[in-house]
Amino acid sequence: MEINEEILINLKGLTMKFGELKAVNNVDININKNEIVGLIGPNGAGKTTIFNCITGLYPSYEGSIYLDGEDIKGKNPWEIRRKGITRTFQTSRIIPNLSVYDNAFIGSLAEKRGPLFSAIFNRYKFNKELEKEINKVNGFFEIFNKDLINKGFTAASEISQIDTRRLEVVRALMMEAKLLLLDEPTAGLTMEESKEFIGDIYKIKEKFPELGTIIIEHDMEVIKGATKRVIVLNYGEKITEGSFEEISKNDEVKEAYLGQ
Amino acid sequence: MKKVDNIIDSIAVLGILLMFYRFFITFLQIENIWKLSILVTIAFLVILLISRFENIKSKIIMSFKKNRSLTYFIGLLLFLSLPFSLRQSSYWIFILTICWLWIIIAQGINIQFGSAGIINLGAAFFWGIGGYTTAILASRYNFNPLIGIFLGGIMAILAGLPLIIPILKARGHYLALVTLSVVVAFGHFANNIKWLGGSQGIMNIPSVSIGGYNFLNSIKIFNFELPPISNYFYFATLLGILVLFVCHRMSNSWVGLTLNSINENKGDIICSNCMGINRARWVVISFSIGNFFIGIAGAFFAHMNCYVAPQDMTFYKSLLYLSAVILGGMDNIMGVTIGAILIVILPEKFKVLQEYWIIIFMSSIVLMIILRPQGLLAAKIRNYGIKRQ
Repeated sequence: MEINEEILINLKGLTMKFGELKAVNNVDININKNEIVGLIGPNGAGKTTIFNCITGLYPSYEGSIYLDGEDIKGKNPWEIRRKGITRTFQTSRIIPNLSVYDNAFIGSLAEKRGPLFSAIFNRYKFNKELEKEINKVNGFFEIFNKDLINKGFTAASEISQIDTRRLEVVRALMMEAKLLLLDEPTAGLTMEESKEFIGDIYKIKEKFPELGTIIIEHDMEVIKGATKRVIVLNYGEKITEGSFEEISKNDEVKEAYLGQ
Repeated sequence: MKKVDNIIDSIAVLGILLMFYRFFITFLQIENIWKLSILVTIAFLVILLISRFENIKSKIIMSFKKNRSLTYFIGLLLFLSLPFSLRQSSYWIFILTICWLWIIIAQGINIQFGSAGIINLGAAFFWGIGGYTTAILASRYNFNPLIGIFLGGIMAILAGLPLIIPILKARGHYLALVTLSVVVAFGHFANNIKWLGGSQGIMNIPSVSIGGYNFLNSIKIFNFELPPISNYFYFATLLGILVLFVCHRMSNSWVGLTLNSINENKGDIICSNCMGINRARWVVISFSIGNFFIGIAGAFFAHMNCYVAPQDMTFYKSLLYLSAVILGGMDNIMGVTIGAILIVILPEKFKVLQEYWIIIFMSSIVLMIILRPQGLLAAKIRNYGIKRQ
């Protein structure tokens, strides 16, 4: 296939079947580097399923997914993460009994070299790594919410809902990433918090200019405020894409949302 | 004023450690069940009383915290002098050595189950592998017992690989079943194989000897004569401290965090997968490290007792090893150590309850899981040894 330098990820004819049910049906999507794209559609439209296909959780899809020109079909989720695709989850998968820092550190455990040896025999190296990671996390907290720096070693169950979402994003970005998949990041947040979150997305964009982002959202304010292009799904099929203004005028889109 | 305060703190620490030492020795040596119960009740009441008075309790805790190095130093000194105080009752030195072996095994299981969530119901099997390996190497092929012990650990790792690798993609219950069947099967197998000595096991295993000094000699030092089992006690103390040290470092590092993250219950498998962690690799690593510790303990036991037999490789034994972890505190190194000590010493001390100990332990596990699933000493938030306020 011809390699377009601008295209970060390319989904072609993506079809995911569960038995006879086509959760995703012949979807084509292109995301460019450094784009923030919205992915919307009613519940059950197949949005999270697409994320799961991309990240390797559903390996048995039909069609193809190319990241930076490389076919990632059949790769394990952990291999796909190391290729640069990272994500957050619809229900925050933050581990409540671990500390805030520990939850973030999980995001970069995969890049540690020889952790077992250095843990026992080379404490100096480990301490240097630990300091670097703490500074990395604090750097993120500076951008999102300075208070979190003091809460680094408290249990993650004790931070607020929006901070939990932020922590998930921090964890996703602790290791180098090319593509960030945000799955309903403002679910459960108040209107105020959602507005804050749009600001957070822009801060991420500033920090990682090359990062491509796909956001699944139901909150149209967030889509309007944060994304330049929107892809609309319904019953597993892509019905249209374009800017927010364009798609909100589209009849099919209106019917998909209002005709429920 | 401060200097006097510090001296008072140090004296308090010294005094409390000595009192505890005296209590422990007496506790071990009392034979009469009534005197024993009185002693235990008194100790219980004293502790209860002290914990009632918050200011005394916190003062005591503060003194210990301020005098960490003193505590460790005096504690270690007292501990090393246990064989001296117990030289008339060498049976208890033997039991304390067994305690160390159980502590080592418990740490192994803690890495597998407490940290990584891997259920190993076949610990007695790996213990047996360690024992039989060194028995065969040392008694039939003249291997140095120390090398035999090390190779016992290695064989335990190798024996575990064919169990865990095929079921890497499956969830916990499958490994539980596999390890359970292996320990029962191997017990029967060893009973019937002549090469492994059949039901008699392998006897006449040589004792450990380091540079010509054989562990069968009694220790003559400072005009005291310590029974030969003391050699094994000190050797076990050395191994035990090493194991605790390694476990502490592993837990407070990326390794401990990785194991927690791939843990079915404590962590999140899907999440750690999507964050780039190769679960399969770490399951094998933690399973192997745990089995290595268990194997070494089994090999040590073989040399200490000079025999191995299939009777010790039962499912019940495996459950007991597991209970030390569940009761003591999952993923808590100190908790697991205390659990191991209790499980060894209590049945020995209260022999009158001989048959009831199974019921007591198993019901304790059930109660513990229902009422306080984290165990006696709950796992602490990892702070990597950084001292923060």
